[in-house]
Amino acid sequence: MLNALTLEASYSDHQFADPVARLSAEPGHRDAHLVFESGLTCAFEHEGQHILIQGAAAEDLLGDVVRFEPDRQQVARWIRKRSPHNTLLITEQCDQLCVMCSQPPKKTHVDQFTDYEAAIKLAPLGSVIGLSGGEPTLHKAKLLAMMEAVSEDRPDIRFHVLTNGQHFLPDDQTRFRHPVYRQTLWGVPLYSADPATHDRIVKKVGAFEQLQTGLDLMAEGGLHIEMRTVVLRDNYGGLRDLARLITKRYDYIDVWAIMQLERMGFAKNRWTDLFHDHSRNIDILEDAAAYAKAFGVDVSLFNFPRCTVTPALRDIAAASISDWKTDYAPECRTCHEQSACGGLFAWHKTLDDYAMRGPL
Amino acid sequence: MTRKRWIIRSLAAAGLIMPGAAIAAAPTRDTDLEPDNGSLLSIMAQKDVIKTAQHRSHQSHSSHRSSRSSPRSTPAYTPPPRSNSTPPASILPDSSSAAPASTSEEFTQVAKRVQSGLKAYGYYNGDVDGKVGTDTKAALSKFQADYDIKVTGTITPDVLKALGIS
Repeated sequence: MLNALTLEASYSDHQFADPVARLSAEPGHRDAHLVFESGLTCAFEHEGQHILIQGAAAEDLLGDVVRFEPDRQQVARWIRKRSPHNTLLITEQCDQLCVMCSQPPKKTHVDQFTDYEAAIKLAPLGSVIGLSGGEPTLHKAKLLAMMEAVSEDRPDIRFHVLTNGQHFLPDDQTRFRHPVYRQTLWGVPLYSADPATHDRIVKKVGAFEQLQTGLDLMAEGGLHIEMRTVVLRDNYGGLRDLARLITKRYDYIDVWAIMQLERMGFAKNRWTDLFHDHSRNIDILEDAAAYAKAFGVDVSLFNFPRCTVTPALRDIAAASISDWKTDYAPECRTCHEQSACGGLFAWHKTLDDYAMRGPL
Repeated sequence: MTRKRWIIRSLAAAGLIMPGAAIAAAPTRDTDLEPDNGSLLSIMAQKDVIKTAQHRSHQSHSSHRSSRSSPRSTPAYTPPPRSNSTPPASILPDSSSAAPASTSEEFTQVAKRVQSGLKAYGYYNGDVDGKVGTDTKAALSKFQADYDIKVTGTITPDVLKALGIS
């Protein structure tokens, strides 16, 4: 429960003027302070109301930034002090409809920028805050304004924003001089060197071309870019070509993240159509990574269990799965490399998809 | 009722009380001068689950009665441990107060009793309003230090025991 994103809570009936607060030991501005603690039950006081929270010890909650949600009888832990994976969902709207989307888009937008800004300003020192969607830059003006406003108060905060990179305009470039963008990494997906394949995967005609313009514009503006490629049946064979395109055309990126599929959202029902076991032709992955590296582009592998890649690739296989969704297969118990491994998604904790697998 | 069940279930999950014991125990009215919030209070104090259940009986449904016949329904009574001193009468509940609408409000009632207790023992001079602010927390810390219990500046089961609230 240490990593749970929400906890059960009991409230009195009224709402809060300000539902976002930091859980603290002492009373303070925007702090909900601890008043009772006993095992995995504790109570905090906020705006004169007591909130009883069940499922976590007080010491694990202190420092968290939460949103009190009396209607749902829960507390949403927006920023968990001990987690390196705090991500806020900016919007569920998106102008792409990626075949493997883990967070399928919705038509409506719930604007939470005010609460998010307040929350991030309460985050622990030096936090990295993930901003994701949907497509966050569909609400670009508010998004950038929020990031800049946070930075005025909290220059120590860093951002990692996931975007399809197609909504910036030349006018935005002057804005990118703001100090907040020096410590922001923009994760932008590119799935193939072949425009038709990329567009087919993101289900948006012309996306490849728009992305090219967008990436150049971001790079010219000095933004830090993490290129993200999810491997699928449809694009795995093209990884070598993609490595060539990236080193030739997009050599300004900070890092290329090659990601194995997350069995969530659309990918859940389309798993057999979409998933590709990289371990069956690991040479393609090895070549692509080696090629990019040779041209000075850093490569990271996300969501690749260490036992499913060759030793040469293990150095770049990052423990990338967010803490609250990581788990391991039964056979991982005897693995010597478990502590270095990113493990598996908690809702699909099996290594059976891979021909080459551990324990190591 | 749902919320009370919730807090009992959750405390049971936390290993603080025996699951089922509270529901199954005899719905006999207790004659102590305890308020309606006795259930939450006793759970918070982590002791005397039987007594907890008896207080719950004020609000229990008839369906609980049927469970009396279960083996769990006749546990031996264990008197609660006593603190060294007898709490002054001012800690005793105000029976005229309205029944709280939620577990959260019940907690506020408990907080008021803690403040009364701290006041009676000379640790607290502020209002008895149930708000555990800086003064109350300071009083709690000093009280905990003097009574040789873990100093947290918060209400803990030890504080409730030491103040004789439960």
